[in-house]
Amino acid sequence: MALPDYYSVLGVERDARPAQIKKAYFQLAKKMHPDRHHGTDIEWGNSDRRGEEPSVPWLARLQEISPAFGTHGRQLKALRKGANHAFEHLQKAYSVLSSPEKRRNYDASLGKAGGFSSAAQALRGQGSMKEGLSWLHSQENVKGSIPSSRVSFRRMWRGTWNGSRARPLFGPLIFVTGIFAMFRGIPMAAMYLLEDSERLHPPPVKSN
Amino acid sequence: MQPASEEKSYAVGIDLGTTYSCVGVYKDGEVQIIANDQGNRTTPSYVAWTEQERLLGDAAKNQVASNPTNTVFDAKRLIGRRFDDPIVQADLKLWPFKVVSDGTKDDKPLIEIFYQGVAKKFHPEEISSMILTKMKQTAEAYLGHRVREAVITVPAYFNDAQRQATKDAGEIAGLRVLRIVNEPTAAAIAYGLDKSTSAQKETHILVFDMGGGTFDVSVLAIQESVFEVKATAGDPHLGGEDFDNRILSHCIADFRRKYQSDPTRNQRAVRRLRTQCERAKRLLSTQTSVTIEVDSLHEGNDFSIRLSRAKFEELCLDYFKKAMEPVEQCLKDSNLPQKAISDIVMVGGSTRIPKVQELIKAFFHGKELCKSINPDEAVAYGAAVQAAIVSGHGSEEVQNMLLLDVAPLSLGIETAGGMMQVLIERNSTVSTSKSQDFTTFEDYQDHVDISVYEGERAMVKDNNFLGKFTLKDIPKSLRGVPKIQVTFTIDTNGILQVSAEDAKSNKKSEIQIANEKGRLTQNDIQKMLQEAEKYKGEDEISKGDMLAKEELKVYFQRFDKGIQDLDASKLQEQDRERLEKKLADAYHWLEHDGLKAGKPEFEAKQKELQAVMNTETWTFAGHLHSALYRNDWEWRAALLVCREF
Repeated sequence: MALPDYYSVLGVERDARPAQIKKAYFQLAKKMHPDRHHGTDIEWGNSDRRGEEPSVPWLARLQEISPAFGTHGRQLKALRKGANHAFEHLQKAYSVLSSPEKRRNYDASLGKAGGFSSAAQALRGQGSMKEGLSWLHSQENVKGSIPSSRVSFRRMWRGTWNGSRARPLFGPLIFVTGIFAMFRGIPMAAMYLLEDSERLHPPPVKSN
Repeated sequence: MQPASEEKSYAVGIDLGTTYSCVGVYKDGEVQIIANDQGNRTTPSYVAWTEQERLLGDAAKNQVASNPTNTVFDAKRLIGRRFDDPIVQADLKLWPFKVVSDGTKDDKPLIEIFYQGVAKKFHPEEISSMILTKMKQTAEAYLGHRVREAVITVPAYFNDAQRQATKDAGEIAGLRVLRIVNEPTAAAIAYGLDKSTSAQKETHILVFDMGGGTFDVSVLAIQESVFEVKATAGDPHLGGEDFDNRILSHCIADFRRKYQSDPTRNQRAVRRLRTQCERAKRLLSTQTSVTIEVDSLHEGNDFSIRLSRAKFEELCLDYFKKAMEPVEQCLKDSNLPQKAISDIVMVGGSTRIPKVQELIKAFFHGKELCKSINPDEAVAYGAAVQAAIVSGHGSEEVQNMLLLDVAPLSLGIETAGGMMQVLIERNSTVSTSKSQDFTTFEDYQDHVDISVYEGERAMVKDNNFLGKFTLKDIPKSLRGVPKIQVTFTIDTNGILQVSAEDAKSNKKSEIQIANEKGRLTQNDIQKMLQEAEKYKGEDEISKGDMLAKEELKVYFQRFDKGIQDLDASKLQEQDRERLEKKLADAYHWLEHDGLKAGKPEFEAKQKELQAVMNTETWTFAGHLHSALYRNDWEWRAALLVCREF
């Protein structure tokens, strides 16, 4: 059974001390927590359920400028979802690695399974995909790719929200760049790490 | 929506309490707790309807003795509950206002009041939304801007339905609810902002939050500005009001013994006595005995009783003892020894009770309690900080803070034999999601029912049912073959979403759980929003009516004085009589028809009088000048009109 690589989720070495793990977790949590994204995907789902437009003025604005942005809007939603999944995954990784007992068990099963999942191993071999493995790294890559504006979720969100009328071009520009840069990095890590590993042995469900 | 106003909009933090509410805002690098129009920093969570108008907050609480059946409070004890809930049934007996079931299968409670001769029914969400509206107005008056976004606090031990209902109340009040935050967590922020929390070293605190109606305990770890909730426990129905009730029944028993008559049927008497009991309870925190006195309480009998602190403690001792259980539970869940707790933060009005302090102190072997934060305002303070964090308005120090809260109850689904299969365990950090694969039980089964529960017991029948949904059209195959993935996602508000997916057909079905159970539908909310708008309009109209009426009265007086001031040489006798008759008629009209009249009628009447006056004035022009017209300009205009005739 393939095991997710919790160590690379947190961006720490396999022999990291508990304090290091905690520190790494805090740093990442401060970046990935839904509070930093001004809402979770459930809230978005909520607004859909209520039959309103999702409360994102700039999204409508984008679509007004170019209908093609519709897809980007969807991508953005997926992106937020990706970020939330990433936090959930971080949570899982931390809950395992922070408890001495769980960590021992995890390490033991890692040894039995002969390392990480095959997909992760394959990725590790390819330099070009390496950043997809770790959230920490992909964050830095994203930051590096848009040096002018230090894009964070909230800034992206607010910057374009406030300025969508005044500066119609500035927001979309950041968005397109941001979407591509971040979409490549974040959810990829999340998706890889979430896929196979989560499925456990099924207990039977009651039927009628 | 102008971009400019958008930039200036503030997000506020609201502590929506059972008995009192409080609002705060993060502004200019610090939190301001906002005083209401009466100058009080907390506002009673009361709504009342009088003959003429709707009252909120202090105004509603002040008139409660004279209008007990139309004054609604304690909506928080009803919110998100069913009418047949034993807690609701027990509370019913103590409330002077009427609560009925809505008669549907959801069995939602409705509060019934009489307003202008018509019975009106309100959901508890609507009552809460009125209080939220009051808090919103308080903040708007202070800030000078519209407030559209808010963080609202709930007790940590509130369940899914209660959280959803609170969120709905915010929506009805026209607020975008950024977050639902747990009260003890918010209080911990207030505590943490006070101390330097950016230290590398980890400190553990215990928050003991006992308010008017609810009780929570949380253990938090604070390190590098991260507030991590380790465990939470509590009782959603334990607080100051329960103590009031104990004193009240003690007094009633005493009254019965003394006068052989039962005042419980007399709502007004009970309410007056309750107010005195609440006062006595507060006083007993600082003095050792008080006298509860109510003149002419029931059937002309005066009531007076001396209550000592010892007696009060004896009356409520089982409650106080009960409050220690969650403390123990919470420490156990957080895997921390007692001595690891470096501070015990006391929040909520009821923590002023000496016995409560004494018990918790004894529990921690004589450790001093932290009383540096204001127990009434800490929660709103923390909520305001959280609002700044989420909306991105805060300073760098605030922006660096992070809150990691937990789910208070285990969540799971029903499996074979009525067992509870837990997916998300109690005290797991939110937001989180958990998936598990399930399969069918019989050959060629084409649908599964998924029932969702919350609670700690092994059998679902002992836990709280949240909702049920069906995944249909599973491709037919032998039992055990289909793979159905059930995913629980709990967001940072503590609100649950459940989805189920058949791996083969990719059929998906999901619910936002509280939908199914007593939750207001979108239509309900829309309707209530309109109703709330209407009420707001009505409030304004009645305020306008009053003003117009006052203005008319003032005009009468000036009119009267104007006539009196003129002697016979200026005003002929028959003219004077005519004018006086007119004035008397107008008075009569005001006394009788004027009671039901609105602003337009008052204004019309004033115009009518003015016209009469104007036709007369040209004979005694200059003399009425000073009496009737406030300025020269108005006078000239009047003269012009006179010449026309």
